[in-house]
Amino acid sequence: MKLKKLLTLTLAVLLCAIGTLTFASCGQKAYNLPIVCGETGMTEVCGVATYGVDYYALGVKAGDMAADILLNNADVSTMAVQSDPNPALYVNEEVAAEIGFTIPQSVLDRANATGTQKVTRETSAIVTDGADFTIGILQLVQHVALDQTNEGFQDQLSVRMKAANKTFRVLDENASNEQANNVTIATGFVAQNVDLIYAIATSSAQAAAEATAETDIPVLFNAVTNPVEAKLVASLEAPGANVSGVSDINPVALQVDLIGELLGKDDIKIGFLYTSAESNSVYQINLGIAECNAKGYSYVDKGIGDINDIQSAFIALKAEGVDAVYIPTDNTLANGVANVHSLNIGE
Amino acid sequence: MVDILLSGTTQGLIWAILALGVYVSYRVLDIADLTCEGCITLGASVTALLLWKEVNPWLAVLIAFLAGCIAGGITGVLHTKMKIPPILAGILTMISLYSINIHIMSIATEKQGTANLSLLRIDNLYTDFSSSKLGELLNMGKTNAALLIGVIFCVGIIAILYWFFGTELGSSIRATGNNEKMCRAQGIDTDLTKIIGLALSNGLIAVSGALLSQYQGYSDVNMGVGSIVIGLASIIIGEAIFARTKRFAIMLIGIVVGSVIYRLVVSLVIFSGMPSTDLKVMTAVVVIVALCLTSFASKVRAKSAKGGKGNV
Repeated sequence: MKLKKLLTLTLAVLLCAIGTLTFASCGQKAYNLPIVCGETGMTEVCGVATYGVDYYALGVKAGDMAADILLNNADVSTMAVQSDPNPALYVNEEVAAEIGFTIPQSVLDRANATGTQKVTRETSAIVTDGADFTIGILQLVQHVALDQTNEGFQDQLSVRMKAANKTFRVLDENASNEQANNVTIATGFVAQNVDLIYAIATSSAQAAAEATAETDIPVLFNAVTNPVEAKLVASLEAPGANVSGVSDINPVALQVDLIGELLGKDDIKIGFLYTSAESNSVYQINLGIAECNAKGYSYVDKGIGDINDIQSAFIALKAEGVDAVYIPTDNTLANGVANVHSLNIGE
Repeated sequence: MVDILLSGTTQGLIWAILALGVYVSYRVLDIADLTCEGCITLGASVTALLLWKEVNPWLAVLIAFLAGCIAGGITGVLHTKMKIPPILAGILTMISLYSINIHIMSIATEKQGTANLSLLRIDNLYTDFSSSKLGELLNMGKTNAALLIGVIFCVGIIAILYWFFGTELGSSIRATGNNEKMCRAQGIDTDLTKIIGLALSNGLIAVSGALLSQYQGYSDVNMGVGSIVIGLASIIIGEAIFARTKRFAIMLIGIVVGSVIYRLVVSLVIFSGMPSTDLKVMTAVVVIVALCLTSFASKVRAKSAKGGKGNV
């Protein structure tokens, strides 16, 4: 008797489950919108193409700035903040096939041509004794992208130093993600009177800027998304003090242009999907809207409060009739990209 | 080299205020309170916000202290009134403070989700002091002003703590940490003493955050990571050095000395030229060696005392 009850119960549960699943899959329709994300990691999951920031190239850019300051006496207060000069185009043909989107041949051709161009380090220019210049490097934490900006910086600076027949010593310090060490290292560099401080990540750059406030030691930062908001520089064009450097902001304007290129027409409507509580996302969306206005694209923006709002925001964008979706580099959406993708392909 | 030691000492004095706060909860009350990691950031964020709003820096530090007291008080209420184990109560306050700190910093920028608030090129305690009449008279730059202000704060706080723990209320807080049941038998409201103790502890931690944010030039939501370890290490080094003392004031001074030593050790490890990846393990090794040496020394002392007098 008990067994019969149990069987009936199991059957009922199974039927319910199957029913719900069928209903859900009927109700769930595919949106098949081409998506462009702010960074390559998110694009690997749900995007069709994007321009990715190459952190090694950012390091090389900073290396050039350092060489200009040390070798050519360039004034750091007038050096404009740089960004990735040549972001790499990345396409995801897998996702494109899944949503039934054809990536134009012109985009595919360019994607295959680019890749990270490494500089060969001139090891003879980096010495430990009797160097012409001492460089203090302050990095916040061991992290792949930050390590690359460090490597690119030293590689490029060594090439420039070698060309000028000079040598330099590197004090390469890492705060190991303990911000108390930021101050210890930065003030230590000032005490040792280094010729230049290269600070990687926002809080490290701020600690270096504060420690050098009463000196004229130049500080170059890297991997800072918004140097103006971080008060490192007065403006991107004219920093105004002893601090300048390289921003790792993703090329939002280029990415918005890429949407136009992917769709192959100018009469388009872009949907911006982002987390309204993340200031970096809001910053990127404002850049994106500016580019839309410049190009004459129309747009809709949908800010989400948390990861559970993704579905309703996505449906709302579709209802507004957007042709493509742009997702900035955004922590919440980075966690929800798989969700975005399954919504998009209707699973 | 002297400059490195000076800046290490300055930072040590700022962290000593945190260590004194941790001492109140960890040793006096005998509660392992993890509110610390969120509370130092709370102090920094509140100060940063107030400095953005051009509030007087001294007043900002005072308000940061009060904010820390509230956070500590909440941990105390969670622990005593809701019967949540102290470690968990501290963790709950700490993780809530993560969101709260972001909200506080967002008020300044008027942008949601501000995780980092810069204080660069904004007047603070140190610039105020060095540009004041007294600062100009003493011809002090920011570095020396920071050192002097650190000394003033440490001396002041030690004096206040020494006085406070001698009062009836302070004594009952100390008694609560020693023997809670006995205290209740004597008619002391131990819930209240714990709440006040935790509030005081976290108020001091927030003051440390307030000074730190002005010294380093920013407040960052992740700046509290590892702060409880710094606090505990400072206390233990201080206790190891002043192992023989039973006097409360000497003990408090020992904690400040311990904090300065810890910071100097980190500075020396960083600038000793070893690979930066080894920083954490080398810091730990140096602290372990220091502790072993002091415990070895006290053993030797105990042995010779025994041999000399025959009975101890």
